[in-house]
Amino acid sequence: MMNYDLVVIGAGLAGMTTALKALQQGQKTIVVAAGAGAMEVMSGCLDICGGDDNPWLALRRLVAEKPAHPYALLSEEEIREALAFFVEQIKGACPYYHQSGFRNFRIPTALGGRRRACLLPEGQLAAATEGPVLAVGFKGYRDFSAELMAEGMNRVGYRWQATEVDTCCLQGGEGDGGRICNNSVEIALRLERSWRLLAEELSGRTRGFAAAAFPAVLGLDQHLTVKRGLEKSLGVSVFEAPALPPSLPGMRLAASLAARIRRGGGDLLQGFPVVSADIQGRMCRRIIVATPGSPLSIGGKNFILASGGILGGGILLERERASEAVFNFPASGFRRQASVFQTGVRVNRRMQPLAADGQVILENVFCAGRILAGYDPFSEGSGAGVAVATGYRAAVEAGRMAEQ
Amino acid sequence: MKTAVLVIGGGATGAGILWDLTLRGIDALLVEQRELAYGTTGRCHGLLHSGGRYVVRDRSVARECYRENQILRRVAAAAVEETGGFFVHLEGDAPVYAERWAEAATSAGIPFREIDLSEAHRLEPLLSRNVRRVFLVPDASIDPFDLVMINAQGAIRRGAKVLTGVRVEKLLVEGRRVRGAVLKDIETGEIYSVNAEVVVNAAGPWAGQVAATAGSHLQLAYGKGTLLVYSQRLCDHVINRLRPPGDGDILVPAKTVSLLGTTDLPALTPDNPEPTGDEIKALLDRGEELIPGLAGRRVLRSFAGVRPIYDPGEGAGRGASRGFAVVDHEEADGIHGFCSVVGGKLTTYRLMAEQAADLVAAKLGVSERCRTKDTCLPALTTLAPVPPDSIEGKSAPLVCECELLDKETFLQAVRRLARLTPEALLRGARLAHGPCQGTTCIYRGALLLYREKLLSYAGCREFMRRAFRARQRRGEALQGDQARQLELARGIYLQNLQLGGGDDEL
Ligand SMILES: Cc1cc2nc3c(=O)[nH]c(=O)nc-3n(C[C@H](O)[C@H](O)[C@H](O)COP(=O)(O)OP(=O)(O)OC[C@H]3O[C@@H](n4cnc5c(N)ncnc54)[C@H](O)[C@@H]3O)c2cc1C
Ligand SMILES: Cc1cc2nc3c(=O)[nH]c(=O)nc-3n(C[C@H](O)[C@H](O)[C@H](O)COP(=O)(O)OP(=O)(O)OC[C@H]3O[C@@H](n4cnc5c(N)ncnc54)[C@H](O)[C@@H]3O)c2cc1C
Repeated sequence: MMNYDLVVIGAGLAGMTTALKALQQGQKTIVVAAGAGAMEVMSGCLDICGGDDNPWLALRRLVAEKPAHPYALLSEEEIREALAFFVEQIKGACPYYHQSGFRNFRIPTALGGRRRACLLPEGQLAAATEGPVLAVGFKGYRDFSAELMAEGMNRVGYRWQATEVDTCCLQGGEGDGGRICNNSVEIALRLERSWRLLAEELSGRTRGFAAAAFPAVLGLDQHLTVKRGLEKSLGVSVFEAPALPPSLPGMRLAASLAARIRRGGGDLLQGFPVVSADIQGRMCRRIIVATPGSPLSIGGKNFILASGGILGGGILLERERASEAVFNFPASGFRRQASVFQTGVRVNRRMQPLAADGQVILENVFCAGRILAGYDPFSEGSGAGVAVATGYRAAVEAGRMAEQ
Repeated sequence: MKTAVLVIGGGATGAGILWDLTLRGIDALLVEQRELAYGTTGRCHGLLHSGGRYVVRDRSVARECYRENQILRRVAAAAVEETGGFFVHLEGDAPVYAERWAEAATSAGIPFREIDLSEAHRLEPLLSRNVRRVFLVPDASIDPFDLVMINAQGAIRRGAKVLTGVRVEKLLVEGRRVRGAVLKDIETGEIYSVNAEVVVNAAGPWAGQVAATAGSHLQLAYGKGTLLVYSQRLCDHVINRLRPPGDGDILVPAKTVSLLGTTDLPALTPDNPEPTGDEIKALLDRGEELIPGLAGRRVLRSFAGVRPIYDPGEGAGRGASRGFAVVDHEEADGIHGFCSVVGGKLTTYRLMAEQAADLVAAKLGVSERCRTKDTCLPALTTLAPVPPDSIEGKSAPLVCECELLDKETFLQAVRRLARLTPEALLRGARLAHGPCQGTTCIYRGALLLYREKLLSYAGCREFMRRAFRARQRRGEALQGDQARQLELARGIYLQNLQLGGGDDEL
């Protein structure tokens, strides 16, 4: 049987953050995950709290309103520390930027509306510009309309224009029958080879603009080369506007986090679900992973449950009840109608799972991220903040437990 | 405005009457308060009955269904899928009922054939292993939207007129004769009138309200029925439970999905029927008996419709007649130039239309006979299935993969709509009906309409917002993958696109 100090269930933002922190603390760590979670569909920007330009003000309001919110378990100091840690870990291959005090940026949506965001990947940083922007669309590409985005921004007083390029120019002359390329990942991979053709196609058109906006398809692993290359050739800043999944910004982030974990000496087992756990008293001894052939058993001193919510697969919603998938922890806050998406596991300040009567169910399991009860990332703009901060905290708690 | 005949109601019945009158060379105008197929027609099960369901209780209705079934397979082939149907007798169901059923079907002249259980399971692998007998009947699946569209389009091509989004506020009565109607444009609120020599009331469950505005009385009862739509085609035949009609005993395959239904509860009004939790539970429990594991399969949505039942004496419910009546108000209450068509079924819409049109023709002194029995309805070329190679993007690019909705089909369906309200787009253009539940196609559809200048910037955002909200309102049946899909959609529409409404202050 494989044995670890820390076994992390889930490779989303929460699980990855936990693993990085645990590795930094010198714990022998493995991440086991069924799939990619929300990261590969999310926008790529990371939010603490969206209700105000000052996220801390918004966060205080939120916690006052919802005392059972996961943020209520953490101090602002800890959240800042977690975010700073995250930014530090991810710099290089997939750098993220923030304003001083983590004040929210205001950036356009793909619909030419406005949103707040706290941490921006390099590919979305220039979105915060006030200057004139040229929105660039790809002909026949269904998931983005440069014209729509520009019209929206112009309606609120910006100076944008729209233009369109033919995706054929991305094909580098390969004859595939003039097929319109409609798949985001395919376009991204082509652009890694042929972004210079795109730059040529656009040459001259960007004069007088401060930035150019593109659909979020500017490369996958080579995204920095594509983005920086385009900036250099076009003489303007370049940014992407995310819309529908698959999300290239999210895929880049996931890939960089995974690489970082491997480099840090962590193991990563992705593609297989954890189906059960071996429990003795109030301790988890090992988990069982459904690998093909015979199931794999992984032992650990401590475990992190970062299996996501309804979308990630951590919470299963059935007709008349909701349940937690691996340990069968009670899913609290389950009510039909509006609040089903706030269903999750209730924890104490140490992130340990609680039974309905408030008792800790398992001492050496710590929960983080979307699996937690009592919040809604979308109406609050709190998704990444909760995942990163609780993930960080869970690693710290597991570290303390290991020392004892 | 003037017309020889005013037809009220854009369901199957109204559209069928319009087609019938037009074939007789009679000038006619149809008005529909919302979109075509907005009423019961757009909320029905889509089973083109063989008559099998009714043989025991009402032989003449059963025969009527069978005759119409045979006619519609020919003339409305564009909307019919010849699936065939099973009547399955499960262990524990009263065996005598199966015997009675077979006898009744024989004497009603409805062809059926008992098949081996092994054959039945070969044809329908998901069918319960508890089946004891299986009878094959000529049931079929019929697309109610396409059916209404082909009738309306066929008529329009021959000169008829159709107005949607226009409600009949009241009938214009002079002395004891109906002269036309007062119409209201529901979007602009504009009020105007239309003169007609004869008015036909085919307002389905609303027929009583329409008749009342002319001082006529129609006793209607309402029977609410709820249906569940599954994300997959779970069977290739219609599957009927062989026992006295009850809840959740019919599963109908419809293109890429399947519909389980129905319930039957008395309702007080025809407006806004909503499925209840109890009804959904009843359906899931009964469906599970037919197809084990059904309760765990992905339900895309649930919806309800209201059956108009013309049978004042017997009241609503399954005991009530599924027959129909064409009421000549001249005879019934001395009001001239006015008739109503009430009750019936989708399966018998053509016959209802024929009898109504006979009456109208007689009132107008037109001697042309009905031709709908042997005139094929024109296919909606624009709603033809996408040829497989276009899925690869060679011809029309797809708006949405999961329901194979391609750009041209979508745009043509949109252009057929009189008004581009979000509701009309979702229903009329069939957006967001597949497994993705609009996650991708609401956005893509909206972008496409903006590009084609069919929607303005504000209209485009408003469409996405309302369409997403409409999709979000399906809390009751939410479970499993359906819930995951909705959470993904929430991320896209509320977070990435900020369509929750809170962005306005920025
Ligand atoms: C479309 C969309 C857009 C978003 N946009 C933003 C945004 O702009 N800003 C922002 O801050 N947030 C955004 N979010 C929210 C944010 O992405 C999530 O809240 C956050 O990523 C959740 O992270 P997590 O690690 O808790 O869960 P997840 O990312 O869901 O990860 C769960 C992990 O657990 C694994 N798992 C589940 N069950 C098992 C099992 N039994 N065994 C093994 N592994 C298992 C999954 O495979 C996955 O790897 C968005 C989300 C979506 C869907
Ligand atoms: C749940 C359920 C399942 C069913 N399944 C089947 C089945 O599988 N097979 C079958 O054969 N039958 C089935 N039926 C029955 C069938 O759906 C109906 O009998 C049939 O659709 C009635 O069509 P209609 O045109 O008469 O009425 P409707 O479709 O209701 O049309 C009436 C129209 O009139 C419009 N209208 C009303 N008032 C006004 C006004 N004042 N001005 C303008 N327009 C107005 C309405 O908006 C509506 O569109 C089912 C019914 C239900 C409820």
